[in-house]
Amino acid sequence: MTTTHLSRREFLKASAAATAGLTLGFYLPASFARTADPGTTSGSVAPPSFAPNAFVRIGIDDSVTVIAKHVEMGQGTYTGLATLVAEELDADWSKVKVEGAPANAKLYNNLSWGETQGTGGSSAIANSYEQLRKAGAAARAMLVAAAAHEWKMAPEAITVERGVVMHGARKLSFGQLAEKAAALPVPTEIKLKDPKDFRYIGKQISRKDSKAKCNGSARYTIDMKLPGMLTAVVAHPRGLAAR
Amino acid sequence: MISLNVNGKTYTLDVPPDMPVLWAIRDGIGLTGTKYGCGIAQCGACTVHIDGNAVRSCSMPVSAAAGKCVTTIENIGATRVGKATQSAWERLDVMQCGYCQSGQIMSAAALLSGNPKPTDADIDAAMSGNICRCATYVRIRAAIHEAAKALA
Repeated sequence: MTTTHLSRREFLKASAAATAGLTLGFYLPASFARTADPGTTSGSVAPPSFAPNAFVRIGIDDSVTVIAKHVEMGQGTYTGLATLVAEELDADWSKVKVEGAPANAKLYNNLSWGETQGTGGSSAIANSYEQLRKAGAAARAMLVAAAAHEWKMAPEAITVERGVVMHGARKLSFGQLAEKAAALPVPTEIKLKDPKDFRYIGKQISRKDSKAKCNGSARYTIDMKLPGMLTAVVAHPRGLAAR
Repeated sequence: MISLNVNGKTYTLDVPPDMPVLWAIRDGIGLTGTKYGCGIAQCGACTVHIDGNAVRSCSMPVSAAAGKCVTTIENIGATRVGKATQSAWERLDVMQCGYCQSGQIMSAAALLSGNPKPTDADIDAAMSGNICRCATYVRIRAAIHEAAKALA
C-alpha cells in the first residue's frame, strides 16, 4: 500500500471538484427528449419521456419516474417524496419509480437550507411538501390539457385516476399523452388537492426501496466501482503511541 | 488459483487462499449483495450459505470453501424457502437502510430450511448473530413467521 499525504482541506477541495465534474444539465422545461439517466454518468439513452420539471419524468411506457432530491438512508424518503408527486399526479403507485437526483444545488437544494443539496434533520418532507406536490400537479395539468386538446373539450370535466386520464368512456394513459403534453406550456398557476381527497399521502403504501434491498441489487457506497477508483483505508497503529 | 462454486457457477479466482470468502465473492466475482459489516463474524451482514448452512463469509478463508456450494443473496430466491423469505420481507417492508438485510434473509432462510415452523424463541436464537442498526427486529420476526406460514 502506498501512503499519500493529503491534508483534510486538500481532500475536501479535490472531492468538491470531483462532485462538480459529475454535474449534469438535466432541467428540461416541458421537453420531450431522449434524456440520459440523471443518476448516472454513463450517457446511456433512455426511452423518450415527458419531463415537465426537474422532479418528474413520464415515459411512453406509462412509467412515472420521480427524481428524489434527498438521499435514501432507510428513513423512507424515496417513498415519501414519490408519494407527494404521485398524489397530485394521480399516478398508479405500481408504475412509480424513484431515481436519485444528480448533484445540482440550484435545482435540488433543500429549501430549508438555502442553496445546499442536503438531507438531514427530518427536513426532507417538510421542505419538499409543496414543491413536489406542485411538480406532480403541473404534470397532471399538462396531461389533462393534452387530453382536452385531443378530445376537443374543456379540461375541467376531465378526471385522472391511477395513471389514466378519462372523460366518460374515453381513456388515455399517461404514456399515450406524454408526447403531446411535452409540447404544451408549463402552467404557471397550479391548483393543489384538498387534503380530504388524498389517496396516498397519510396512507400506508409499499416502500419503493424494499425489493432491491431484499435481493441484493441495492447499491451502497461500498458497492460502487468507478474507472480508476482507488480504495483508501485507515492504517491503524499496532498499539497505543505506536510509530 | 482457487475454484469456487457460487450460485451454481464455478469461478476460477486468482486470489490468496487466506482471503475471506466475502472478498472473493465481492471483489473477485463482483457480487456485491453480500455486505461487509464488522469483519470479525460479530454482526452477520456477510452471511452466505455454504452447503446450505449459514456462514459468516468475512471470517472463512476462501480455501476452506473450495469444492463446496456457496449461495448468496443474489440467488437465494431460486430456492422455495429463499423465495418465500424474500417475499415476506418485501410484503412487510422489513428493511430500513437495508445494509444488514442480505445477511438477515440468509440466516432466516437457513433457519426455515431446518425448522419450518419456528417459535419466537427459535427465531431469537437463530437470528441473534445478525445485528440491525435500524432495529427492525420486530418486523424480522414477523416476516419469518409470515414466510413459515406461506411455506406450510
